Amino acid sequence: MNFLSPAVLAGLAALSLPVAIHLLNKLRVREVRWAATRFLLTAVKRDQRRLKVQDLILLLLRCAVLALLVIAFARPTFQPADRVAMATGSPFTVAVLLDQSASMGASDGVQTRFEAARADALNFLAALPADSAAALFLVHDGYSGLVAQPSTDIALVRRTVELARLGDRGTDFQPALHAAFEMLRRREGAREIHLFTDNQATGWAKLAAFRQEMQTDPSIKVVIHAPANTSAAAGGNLAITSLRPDTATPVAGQPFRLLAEVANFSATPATGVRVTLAVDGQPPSADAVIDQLAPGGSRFVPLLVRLPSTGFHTLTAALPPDRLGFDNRRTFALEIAPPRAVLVVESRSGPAPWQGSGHFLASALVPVPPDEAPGYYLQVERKTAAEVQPSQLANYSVIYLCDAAPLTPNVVAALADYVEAGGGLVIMPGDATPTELYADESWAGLLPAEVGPSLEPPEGNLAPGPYHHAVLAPWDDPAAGTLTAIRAARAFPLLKKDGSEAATLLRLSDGLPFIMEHAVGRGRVVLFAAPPVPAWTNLPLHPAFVPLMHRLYATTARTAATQLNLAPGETFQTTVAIGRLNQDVYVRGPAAEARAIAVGRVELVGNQAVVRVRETAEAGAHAVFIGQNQQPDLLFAVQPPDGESDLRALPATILDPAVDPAAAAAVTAAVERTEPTTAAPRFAWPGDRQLWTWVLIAAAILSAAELLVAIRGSRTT
Amino acid sequence: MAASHHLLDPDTLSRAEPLGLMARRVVEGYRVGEHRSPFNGFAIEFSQHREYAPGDDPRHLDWKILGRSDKYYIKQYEQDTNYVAHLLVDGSASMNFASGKVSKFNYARGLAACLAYLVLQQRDAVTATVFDDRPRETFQRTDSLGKIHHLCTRLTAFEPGRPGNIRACLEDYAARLTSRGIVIIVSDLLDDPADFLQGLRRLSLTKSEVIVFQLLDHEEITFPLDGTVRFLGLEDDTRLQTSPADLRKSYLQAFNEHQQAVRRVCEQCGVHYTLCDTTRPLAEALSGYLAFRRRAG
Repeated sequence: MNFLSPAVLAGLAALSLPVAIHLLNKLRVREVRWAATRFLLTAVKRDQRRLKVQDLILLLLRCAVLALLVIAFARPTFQPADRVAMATGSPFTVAVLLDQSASMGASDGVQTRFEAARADALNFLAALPADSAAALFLVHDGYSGLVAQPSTDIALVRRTVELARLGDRGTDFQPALHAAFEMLRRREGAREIHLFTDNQATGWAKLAAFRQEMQTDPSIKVVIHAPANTSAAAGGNLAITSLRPDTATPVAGQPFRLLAEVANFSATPATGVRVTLAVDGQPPSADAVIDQLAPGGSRFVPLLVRLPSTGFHTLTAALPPDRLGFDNRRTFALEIAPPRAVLVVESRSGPAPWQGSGHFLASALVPVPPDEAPGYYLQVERKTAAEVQPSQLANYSVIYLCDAAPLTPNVVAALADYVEAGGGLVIMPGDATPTELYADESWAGLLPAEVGPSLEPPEGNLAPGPYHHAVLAPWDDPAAGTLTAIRAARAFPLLKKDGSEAATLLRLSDGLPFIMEHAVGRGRVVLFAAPPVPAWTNLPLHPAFVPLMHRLYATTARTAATQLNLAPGETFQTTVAIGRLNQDVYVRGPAAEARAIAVGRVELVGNQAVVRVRETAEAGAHAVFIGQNQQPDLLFAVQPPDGESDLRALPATILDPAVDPAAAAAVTAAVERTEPTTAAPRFAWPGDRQLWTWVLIAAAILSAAELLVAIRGSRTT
Repeated sequence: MAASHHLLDPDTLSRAEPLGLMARRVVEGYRVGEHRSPFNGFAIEFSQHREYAPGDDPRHLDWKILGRSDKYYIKQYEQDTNYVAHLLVDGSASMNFASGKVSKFNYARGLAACLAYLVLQQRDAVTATVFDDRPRETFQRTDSLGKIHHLCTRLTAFEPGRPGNIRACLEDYAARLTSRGIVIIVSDLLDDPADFLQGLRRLSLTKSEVIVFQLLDHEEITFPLDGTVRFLGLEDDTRLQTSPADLRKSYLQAFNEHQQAVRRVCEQCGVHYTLCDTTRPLAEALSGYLAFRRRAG
């Protein structure tokens, strides 16, 4: 035990007061001549022993009450000696760093780590010596300098700490530590950085860098305040670590498949884990159950829903609640576009549709009976090269050149602009395509590879997977079939350019690339080695042709460049109709009781009207309202960071250069495995673990006892 | 002289006189007065006949009945007669205690003077004795109201200073008592109740009516002292330094036990007992007692 005001202990000299009063009373004797001495003698004989004991007890009680009062004013505390020295010494300049990352939401059943850390920070600030100055930074994967420069108004800093809220962002200690270090470096006197955190291991990715920085000014002390027990949350910690679509293109009214990755971060296996999927905040419309999930394991769970209509939707996968809540839900936002037009440029040998080289391709893109084709989400237009108008290219989401005749230079130039602006171009050279065509300079910038003269490959079958590309992900699973039965009878050799970043999606068995793609501007260009006609390849006859074409469309389609799924803290940005310029923008967050709040106006950026939302710290679905609309104009989702679910922590001594992070992590993990599943709630000492309240209570109790003893002994009070 | 007159406080006497002192028992006396004589058969007023018993004085035989019926009957008479009030005043050193202006002895001699005045005014006789360990001052029997002055002078002249011995004194007085009367004991009764009992028993053998006035100071009854006090014994060499507040409970317990023993002794001996707090006015205590006597008849 230490004392924050040890000088007050000199008051213990007051213990001599009861003794002195007792002696003074003995000295002030009054003489009385008394007749009834026999009663006095009887009383003395009867009470002598009791009176001596009672006197001793009273003396001890009075001394104890005085001693406790003095000790209470000396502010006893269980704080370590160095903190006591700090609290009682000369003023400090401190930077308080409060971790508000998502992992701080882990609860021990009584309070979250964030609440505990916030209470510790408040107590720490309250115990600072007079005239100290404090700055405050909130730590996540970046930092927020709420009190960026040290202020001597500690009450203000404490109030700011009280108002701090838990976020859904990840953890990276280094940026905040660096900022605090740089701030303190410019200050004089005693300087310290105090980090209140759960000390999550994943937040120390840049530990070495900060250790080096610390060595540049050893006078700045860094103290990590981490609770003693920061193991995985008791009662299991399951997390949805990713949620992504498994269907190439969402279509209204059609089944839409998502893959939710569920991971078990606890030390015990999880059984019967139910995963639900809700659309647009409605009750769950799909679910799946994982029979067993081993500790540290993860599993992808397919979830199938039908999206009701075009427009923006949010899909929220959820797990049963546990003591770390942020990772039990994950929201994915998407937009179902209205039917979109694609252009197939082909060569024709006759008037019938099947006489066009794009017949198989067009049939694959609209794989429905003719009477249902008008309602299908893709509307295919087939044209010959001569019919293509440069001005109409922007109407199409993807343009396929399927064994097309050479285009005019104007069209080629328009195509280049179209791709640069975000359009998708799929080139399938064939019989109608002169070999030397693509050697032209106007094409050279568009193609992901150089195209050689056609040949008959000796090993024309497609090479087996794995394919390492999102378009081909379904065929990485052998249960979904194989692509090796696809054979190319003839093919153009695709020669990769030097320094090109083009990717090869598929290869033939002899190594020749069959499909390559690369990005050009905001668009993508995909190059096939053969057109989808039976004379060149059996691809159009293969069952994989339709899904492959649709997945390829989804990858290359000209979509709105809007990123609907963000990490916490990322800025949501999208273009809207120019007519909405300067209208107010409101955002409603994911909380159940959230209300739409104004975040700004539609801005003019270049010649476009742009909506920007910067407040995206909270994970979940966000609705954007423009103007006075009652229905949301846009939806986007903020997805929590993956690594935050891993609650393994490092010891508070991790900044000591002698501590090996890997070894410390191993030790922490071992301790974690041996810890009971039910964490005992932390016992919080009142008032910064200072004991003066308890001591005062004890003094009051002893005073009452003294009073009782005195009354019982017939003493006047 | 002035001191003796002080004992006869006019206010005290004016309150006590109308009430008088009515003897509850028939007392022996030689002068016709207001009191019933216990002696039957001495003429004056016939009372009743009773059969003769050996030892009866043959002078009291009713000769007429003997002549008519040849039976022996004794004639009995009633006669009002005077009584003698024996005032026994405790003059031991403990009676010197006074927490206020009036010591217990001052209170006692005032009480004795009042009683003597009342008795003499009724034309009864009174005798007074001041005692400590033995009778110290004796006032001879008189029935003259004019002697009250002398009685008061003798009481005033006495100064208590010796330890008391009530048992010896009562026994001695009983031995010298030749006729029945009223014995009035005025004392603080701080002696051993067993000794007091022995003395009273000896007195009761004389068939006199005994009245006990116990005089106690208010501080002796309530023991209200505080601080540190050195107690010096009035009748012995006791020296005790202590905190009275600590002892109050036990003191009062011992005191009450003593008082209960005194009352029990008085009840056993058929003695009328009255406790007087010396802080109460003498007139109040005396008139209250006499009113009780009159009611009791």
